[in-house]
Amino acid sequence: MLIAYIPRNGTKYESYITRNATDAATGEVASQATSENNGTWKKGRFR
Amino acid sequence: MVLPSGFDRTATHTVGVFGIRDLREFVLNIDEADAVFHFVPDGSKPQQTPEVIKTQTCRKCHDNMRFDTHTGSGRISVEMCVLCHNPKSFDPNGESLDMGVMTHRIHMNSSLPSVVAGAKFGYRGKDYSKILYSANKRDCAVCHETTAGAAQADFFETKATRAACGSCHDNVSFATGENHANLPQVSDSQCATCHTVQGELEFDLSIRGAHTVATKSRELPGTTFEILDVNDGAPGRNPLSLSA
Ligand code: HEC
Ligand code: HEC
Ligand code: HEC
Ligand code: HEC
Ligand code: HEC
Repeated sequence: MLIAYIPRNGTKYESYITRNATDAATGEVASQATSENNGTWKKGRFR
Repeated sequence: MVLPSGFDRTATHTVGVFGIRDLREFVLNIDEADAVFHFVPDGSKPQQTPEVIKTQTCRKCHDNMRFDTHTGSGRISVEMCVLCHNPKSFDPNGESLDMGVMTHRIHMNSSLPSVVAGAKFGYRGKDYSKILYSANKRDCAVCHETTAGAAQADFFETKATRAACGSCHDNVSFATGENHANLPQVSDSQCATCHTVQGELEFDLSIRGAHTVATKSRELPGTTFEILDVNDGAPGRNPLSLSA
């Protein structure tokens, strides 16, 4: 699941859910949009 | 998920979900699906959400939208990609993950001026500079189709920006004017005054003109062949065998 919004007067999204990714080699950090709650649906009935 | 306090209740919001059904244990495939839902918290009508390119356009070449990254994750539509691949997302090596910038650079790959000059291009240390692209790199309409019904299909030629244009032209410094006819640009507000949609001439400064595909040029007179002679055309002889 993920959620994003379009800032006023904009045309592109901004995400509410971000994470910091670090480059293993240089240690540089960057912000990335991501999702949360990577659940799995187990057996069951879906209607 | 709890939204931060003070979020803009008048802004268009989009929720995205993606999922898979893994049937490999039954010797079947992974089924993938994704969906988006647009709403405005205050109940008003959502604004136009990003729709520069429709997924079906990518599908001309990427039939199942399965890429090396996120393979089998259920992310299979451009509407989904742009939620995360927005202008604020970056790879730690500084590469922008913005959908336009990333897609341009991936398909430009070995022709990027930076790569031609010897630099590397890739994400997470993976080399993307040697991908073999199957279309002409000047041919914007391969992706920016005007007939697929995308609501913002014209943005590629009406919304020139330093980010979108500079993604392929990565030897241009808009700050200094280097490789830009010594014309520094401090914002995106003036681009369209010089780079119009279409000018008078092909190969001019206009966005269509500058990206004229040479083999599709209207100035090409067309090639005419004339058969001058046929060798070995007599009965019993084979005109295809070239007599040395
Ligand atoms: C004219 C055909 C064509 C179109 C249209 C096209 N691509 Fe590609 N694309 C290619 C080719 C060819 C490659 C290189 C194939 C490879 O190396 O797997 C490629 C590579 C890629 C890659 C990197 C390889 C990977 O698996 O991660 C991504 C990502 C990608 N394309 C995304 C897109 C998206 C998104 C669109 C639509 C906006 C699109 N492409 C439209 C031909 C096309
Ligand atoms: C939930 C957020 C999210 C969605 C949706 C998403 N991506 Fe990504 N993508 C990322 C992040 C974060 C990265 C940065 C690499 C990483 O660390 O995983 C990335 C990286 C990439 C890369 C760079 C290659 C690499 O190995 O890092 C490509 C290409 C890519 N995504 C293509 C796509 C395409 C095409 C779509 C839509 C079909 C898509 N992504 C949808 C979050 C997303
Ligand atoms: C391989 C596919 C592909 C090709 C070829 C391509 N583009 Fe794009 N372009 C994209 C994608 C994907 C986006 C991002 C759309 C979005 O953010 O919703 C984009 C965005 C843009 C934007 C930004 C529009 C905006 O909404 O701000 C411009 C400008 C642009 N392209 C110009 C060009 C030009 C000029 C060419 C030809 C020289 C070209 N593109 C060729 C895929 C492509
Ligand atoms: C997908 C990659 C791509 C994008 C995006 C792109 N271009 Fe280009 N552009 C090219 C290629 C390839 C050429 C031909 C360059 C060559 O033959 O050396 C070119 C040529 C040009 C030229 C002619 C000058 C020259 O170097 O030959 C101009 C001017 C130009 N582009 C402006 C723009 C503008 C303005 C934008 C943004 C609206 C843009 N380009 C976006 C790939 C791109
Ligand atoms: C005052 C007119 C003017 C303005 C404003 C302008 N440009 Fe240009 N642009 C030019 C000229 C002149 C060239 C050189 C064309 C050539 O080399 O054939 C050029 C070339 C380019 C090229 C191709 C560079 C190359 O590789 O040869 C790109 C990309 C470009 N401009 C993008 C932009 C963007 C983005 C903006 C807005 C931020 C912008 N331009 C604003 C006049 C302008």
